[in-house]
Amino acid sequence: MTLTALIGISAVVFALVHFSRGSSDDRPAQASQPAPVRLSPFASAAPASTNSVAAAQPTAFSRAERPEADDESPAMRERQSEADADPADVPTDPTDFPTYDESAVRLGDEHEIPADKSGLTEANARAAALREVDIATPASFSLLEQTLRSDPTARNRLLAVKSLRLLGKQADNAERARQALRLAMSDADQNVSANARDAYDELTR
Amino acid sequence: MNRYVALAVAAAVTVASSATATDFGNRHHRPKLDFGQRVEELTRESSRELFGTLGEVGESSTKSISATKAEKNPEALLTVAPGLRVRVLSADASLAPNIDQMFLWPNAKHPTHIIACNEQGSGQVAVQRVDVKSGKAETIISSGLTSCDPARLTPWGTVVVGEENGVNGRIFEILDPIHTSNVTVPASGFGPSSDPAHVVARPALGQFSFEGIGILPNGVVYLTDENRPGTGGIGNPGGALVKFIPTQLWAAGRAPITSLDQSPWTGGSIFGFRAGRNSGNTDVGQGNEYGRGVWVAVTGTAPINLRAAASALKLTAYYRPEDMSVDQEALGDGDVRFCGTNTGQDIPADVDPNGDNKWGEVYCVTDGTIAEASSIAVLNGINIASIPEYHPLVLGTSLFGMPDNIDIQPGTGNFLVDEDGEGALHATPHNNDIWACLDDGDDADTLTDGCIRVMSLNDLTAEPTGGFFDGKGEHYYVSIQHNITGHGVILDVSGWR
Repeated sequence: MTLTALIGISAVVFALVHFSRGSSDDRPAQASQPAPVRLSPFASAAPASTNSVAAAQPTAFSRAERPEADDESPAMRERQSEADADPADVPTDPTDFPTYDESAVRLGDEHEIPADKSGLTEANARAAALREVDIATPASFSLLEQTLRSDPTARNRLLAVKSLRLLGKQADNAERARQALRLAMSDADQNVSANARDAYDELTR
Repeated sequence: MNRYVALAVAAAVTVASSATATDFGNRHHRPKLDFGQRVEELTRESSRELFGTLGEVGESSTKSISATKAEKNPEALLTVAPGLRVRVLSADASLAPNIDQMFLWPNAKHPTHIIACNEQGSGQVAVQRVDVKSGKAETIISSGLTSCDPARLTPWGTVVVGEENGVNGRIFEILDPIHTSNVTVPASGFGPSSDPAHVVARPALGQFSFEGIGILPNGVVYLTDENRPGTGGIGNPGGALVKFIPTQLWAAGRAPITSLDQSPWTGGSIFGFRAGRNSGNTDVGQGNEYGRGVWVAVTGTAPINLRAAASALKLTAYYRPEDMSVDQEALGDGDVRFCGTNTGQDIPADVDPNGDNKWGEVYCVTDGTIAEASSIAVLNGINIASIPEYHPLVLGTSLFGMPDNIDIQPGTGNFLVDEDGEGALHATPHNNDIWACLDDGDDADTLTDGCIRVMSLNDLTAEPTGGFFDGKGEHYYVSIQHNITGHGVILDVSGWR
């Protein structure tokens, strides 16, 4: 009985302390919260340009069919505006949106690298270079041999084996390609070593 | 009395057991599969009924066959689910190595050729035709075109291809692709090709990194920009979705055009998708990427820099939008629906600290009826003739990441999705896969009802690209892009039940 009473008293004390602390924590936070700062990208909209879409005639649709009509009641919208900010800051007419000003942009100003080549990890950047190796010139050997020796990504070493095989099909390059492939036959990665072995055998035949 | 005691004891034990099971079941008696796993298991077990295969490919292949083996047996580049068969359509030495999107010519039911983009630099072959019987490849556009990726047959009988080439990307149209050979185009700009009667650029469709292309029977076309967020500056948006409405719509049933100046794509209007309609279409921006939106008029003198316009007009952006496929069943009902992929970036964070674990997604967009989607009624810069609605269909996972090419199987409505993932960089390198996904059914959500892996490559240096079905949904053609052989390989996967 005594224990039960103690537990009950403790619970009451804990609740009082806890709720009391919670409410006191909230008050200063609210009081110190700065007034919301609104950055409107719509305020400095450039004037609309006219051109190819000018052929599109203004609509005969009724006001009720306009896309900005939503399922919120006006009262709800008003409450939302009051809660958010000064209603004057909220653009309600689509003309408030910015428009594309082609005079401000020149073709080629932007990053021109396709997305599959931009933002590459280092391993993928090395792979991209390997995929573009010129298999017609012995000058490519050094990159391929270096890759087999030191690239930690097995896929990249496979790409090197692939190019060595094609490079080695030219008679003048066969011996150097075989040498590189012979080393790759002892690669720790089974796919790389097997690919190198098959390529070596093919160039030896 | 004893009986009552025994009953009471039994009841007490039962209650105690129930309580134990209820309270601690998860801790001490964890079921082998949780509910989600059981659903996945059921999907796999129903593969014949749902996907037309006799099972799935259980795991991504970790094999990488040698060039020697692949030359001897190109089918070995692909492992397929039980019940499916692989045939080599072409492994011709003249087939370009980076074949991407492709389609059947002159139609999907009685084809003589595949017309294909080759995604390489402007100095290399860009467009080829491949004889479906002999596999022999011949070149249509030999140089000048960079990173050819999208390729489609137009309803008026021409070929359209596009460049995935940043803001310099262009759309080209080709007339008579069987008798047009070795054409060169300018490396940039819209000057004439070496054969202007058969190959022209289309400035009316603007410029960005073309990838997704979905053409309606009347010539309206949806296009996506394969753009990575942050390109050109931190915080820059990813790729946008736009719609081009020709000034003169193409009337179904007309004979194919005989001159490129008869194409509907000589002029028209462009509109960009912006999610958000609340409070006068103002709930626009980061955080609003799904749901209903508007088509914003994109104005300018052709060719419009669509990427710059998308940024200025606050068009909704996605992470590297890729291929798309128009839902033919919806079209049959007079409605517009198309589905595409956003690739994302899936290098696992435990392998590379720069990995996003953003596995990409498949999305679908509806755009009202064909008539609505093809109309122009601009009010305050917005084309209010149709209401586009965007929803995700498949959310990527660590197993199914970076979706690229997509096609909807005729007959079943299932989606086949080619991965362009980073499996080769994982701690245990694995191959890219091809997944089959159900469409969304009548359940409450808008998501796929399930996916299984139906194919896996056996070449860690390659990716599956351009996968698409024939007109009956019986043959799935897929390119094994930049594979170990050094030349192109197109495989034909059949056996779908």
